[in-house]
Amino acid sequence: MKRLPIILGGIFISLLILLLPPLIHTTYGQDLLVKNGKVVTLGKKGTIEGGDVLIEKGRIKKIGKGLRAPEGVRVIDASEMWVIPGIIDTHTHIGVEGGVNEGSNSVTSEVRIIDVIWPENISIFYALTGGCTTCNTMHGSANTIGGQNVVIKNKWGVSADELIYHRAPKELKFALGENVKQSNFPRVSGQPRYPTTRMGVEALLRKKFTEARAYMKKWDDYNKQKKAGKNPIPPRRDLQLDVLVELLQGKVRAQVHCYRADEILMMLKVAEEYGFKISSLEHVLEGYKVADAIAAHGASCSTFADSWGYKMEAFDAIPYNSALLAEAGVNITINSDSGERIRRLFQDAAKCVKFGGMSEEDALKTVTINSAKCLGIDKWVGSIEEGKDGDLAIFNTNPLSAYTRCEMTIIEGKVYFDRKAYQEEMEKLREEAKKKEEKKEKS
Amino acid sequence: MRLLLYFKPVVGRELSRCLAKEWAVLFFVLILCGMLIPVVSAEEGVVYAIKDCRIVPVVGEEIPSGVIVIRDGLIHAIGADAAIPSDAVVIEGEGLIAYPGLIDSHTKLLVKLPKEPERPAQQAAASPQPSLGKWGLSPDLLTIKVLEPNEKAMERLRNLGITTVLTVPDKGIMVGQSAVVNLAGDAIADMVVKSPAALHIEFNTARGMRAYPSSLMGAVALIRQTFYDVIDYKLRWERYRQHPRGMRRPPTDPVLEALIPVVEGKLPVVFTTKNQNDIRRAYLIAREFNLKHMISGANEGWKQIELLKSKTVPLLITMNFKAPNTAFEAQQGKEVKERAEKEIYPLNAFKLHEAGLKFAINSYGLTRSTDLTKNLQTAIEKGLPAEEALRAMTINAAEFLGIDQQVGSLEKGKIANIVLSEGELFAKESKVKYVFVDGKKFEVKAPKKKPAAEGKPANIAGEWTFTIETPMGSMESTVSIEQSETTFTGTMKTEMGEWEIHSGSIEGNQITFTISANIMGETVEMVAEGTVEEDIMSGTIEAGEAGTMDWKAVKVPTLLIHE
Repeated sequence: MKRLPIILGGIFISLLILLLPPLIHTTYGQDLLVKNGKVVTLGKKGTIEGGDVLIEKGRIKKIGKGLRAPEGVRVIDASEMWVIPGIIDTHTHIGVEGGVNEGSNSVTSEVRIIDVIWPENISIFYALTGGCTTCNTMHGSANTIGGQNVVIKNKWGVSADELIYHRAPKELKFALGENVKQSNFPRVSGQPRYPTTRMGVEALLRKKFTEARAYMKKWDDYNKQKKAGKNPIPPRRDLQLDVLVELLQGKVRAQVHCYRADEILMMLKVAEEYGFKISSLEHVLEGYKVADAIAAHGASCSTFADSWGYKMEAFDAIPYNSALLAEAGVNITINSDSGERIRRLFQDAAKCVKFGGMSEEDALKTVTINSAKCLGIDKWVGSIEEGKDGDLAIFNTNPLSAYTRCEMTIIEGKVYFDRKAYQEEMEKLREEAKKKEEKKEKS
Repeated sequence: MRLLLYFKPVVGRELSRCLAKEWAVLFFVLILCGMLIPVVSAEEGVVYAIKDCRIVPVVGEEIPSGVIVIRDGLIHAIGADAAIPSDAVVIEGEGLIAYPGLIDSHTKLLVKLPKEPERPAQQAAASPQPSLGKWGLSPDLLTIKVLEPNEKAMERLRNLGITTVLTVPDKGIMVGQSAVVNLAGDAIADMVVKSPAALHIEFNTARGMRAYPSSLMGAVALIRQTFYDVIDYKLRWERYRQHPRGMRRPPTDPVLEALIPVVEGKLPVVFTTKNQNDIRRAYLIAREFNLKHMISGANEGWKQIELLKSKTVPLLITMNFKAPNTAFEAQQGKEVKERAEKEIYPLNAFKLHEAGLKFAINSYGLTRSTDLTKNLQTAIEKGLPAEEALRAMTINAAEFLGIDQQVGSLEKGKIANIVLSEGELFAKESKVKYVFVDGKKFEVKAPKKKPAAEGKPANIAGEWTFTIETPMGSMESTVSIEQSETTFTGTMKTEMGEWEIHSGSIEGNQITFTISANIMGETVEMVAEGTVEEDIMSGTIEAGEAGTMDWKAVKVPTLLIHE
């Protein structure tokens, strides 16, 4: 029995060897035929029993029945299985190296997740095991303006640059409420960071957007002079204001972490005053109280299914939030905000059926096509449609069932997770480790 | 005899005219003499001839048996039948192999930074960004200004055959401009081979509460903003210099001023990379600002081989095989991590070589820079050809650092940095016998043999009062040790918190162990050795380039409780 820890250690090391090889090679855009599954397209073609999906060079070429695979193309038998679009998480912090908050300042729009993508973070692999193919990995919520987020595809084993989903528009993270006030953190060195109140947050936002307007004008003047044939000195480039200008120009999407109804209304007002649009409100636990205002602005809402009461500003949360917002006409998505829950998003989606009486299809949409809309990438991902990316998740049964299990996850036609193959490989390595141990014992 | 003529009596104007002319001639004759017989110390004046040694010049053909003549600190002659001058001190080289002195292409050797000035706490965010020059930006720091010769530290490296190092501080983000120095001398001024060699950038964060940047992404943003500021600064000053009249002059900033040669491509940038992602960051920044750059560290180079192959960038790779925290293996527990450090990380150099990449080698990140050659031997065992290792530590490093006309090979006219070893240099059983640095001879003495450990291992379990003699006075702490036969671990309670003691081993009454000190959020590994004599232990601690410190420990008596 003393040997057991050694054997377990051997298994762990084998695990490492198993998972290592993909870190080195890379692939993009493969061909694949998924056959005879219950294909829930969440698109125009509805649900097809015994349906096939043909992927060519990473894109969905054809959806239908009785499709034949061109020569040499791998065929996956999905009989008795459910095939759904790859799950999309609109709010995570996985795959980020060296801190998610630049907490020294309350406005740090100059910092970018794209500079610190961490492809070896095991959470990316965990996400795959739950059918999650795409996620929006973001800054934390310590700052009024946190920085520039990035959308990645969970291609476990590739380098940072290959993870980035380049089609996704640029995004900027904002945060409101208690985290920004730092009331959830211990005071350090006796000197609180400005702002420490909700009104301070609003004032800081206005100050920064006013600065951004002035900065934009400086550049406009410079460009005008240059056009007029003069030789002006360009203004000093300011990375912090650059992105705020892009936001004012509608080139960047704003994602706002918020909880309370009052701060949500404040943010919508500031945005409308400065003439930019908020693409999504994150968490938005009191969203149901101001659903009409959110719907009128046209922001998506990315929320938790039923998390409640974990801090003061989360006490008015109700599990019916998503259903009520959806009823008001808001595009609603469920997010994980966690490297662990990211692999069970389908279960969180199922809660919308229980609590809000959403249809099963609508519930599934909260973690697929709605998420894609929220991130502005619904032209390419989020549903199974011809021309879209070949991102699929295959489940053994209805993904909203308590007994469901993700069997396979495919990104752009490449199988990145195959539970059966993975388990077989694990078993093999376990046996090998055991044999090795026995051999040692004998000698 | 002609000199006498100068004093021949001449009359009148003739005299003064003649004197002026002849005295000038005399003056130049004296100067000429001065050049021929330099005023130097006894050692520096010695001419050496190493005879009958095998010569591996790295550049050019190997010479099975030849002579190297060293004069004025340079290689005066080299070849199979180079003449031995009559004034030379002859060194019998039979059975020895001569190599160029090795170059460690990235260390912080001899760096002694002044105490950091107190930083003002950052103002509330409503105030403007913190000014440059603080927060880890010191591109204007010339390493030669903060070097102090340390004979002991230099000797340790010379004994391994290392004669030249690139040295630079490692604190902050833009850490300063490095220097290449030869490892012999009492004055830095005489040791410098090249300064500045490069600007060094590390992906560090600023230390202290509320200091910007506190995150890695903040560091990248600060580096980018700083380069944009340099471009802006340069343009404003150029405009101002063209037409100072009627234009308000721009403010002067020494930090931005120091970076102008960098954006102009005149001074290369060395990015220190501690994982595969740092390599990507370095490439992206270099591309954005069109910088002439090198990559140092590259401990995970094999994971970025495609990127490294895409553009020829000098690589200065480390022999530090520790897996970074970002490594997949590091997330799988200690055992997997340690196995990766044994089986995967030492393969890096071999894999880069296989990919056809050219590199130099350094000790960056090693707790003991003397582990450099030991780890290099491991890399050779893992497949790196020994001759490639030799090139990496000589001519490759010299070419990358732009000093290949001075060092890096045994060629006539180059600096006499020479290693004479018994056996092939990187073979395990080889011994470095002589090292020449700038023509100065150093004989490597065999290390003093420790008295053979006798008897069963001493029992050191329990509590000890532990005193370290630091340069700033003695530091007392309480150490508790848990021993199992010949190994031990423990904890050290200090004023700066609790530190871990690990890798302890006992052989008779000789002990060695490592202290993992946590100093202001950074882990510093210190290797200690010592002797046990009943209830007293004493020995020395090697704290990187900070030098060697003495320690002493006294057993805390176990209290006997009487009824």
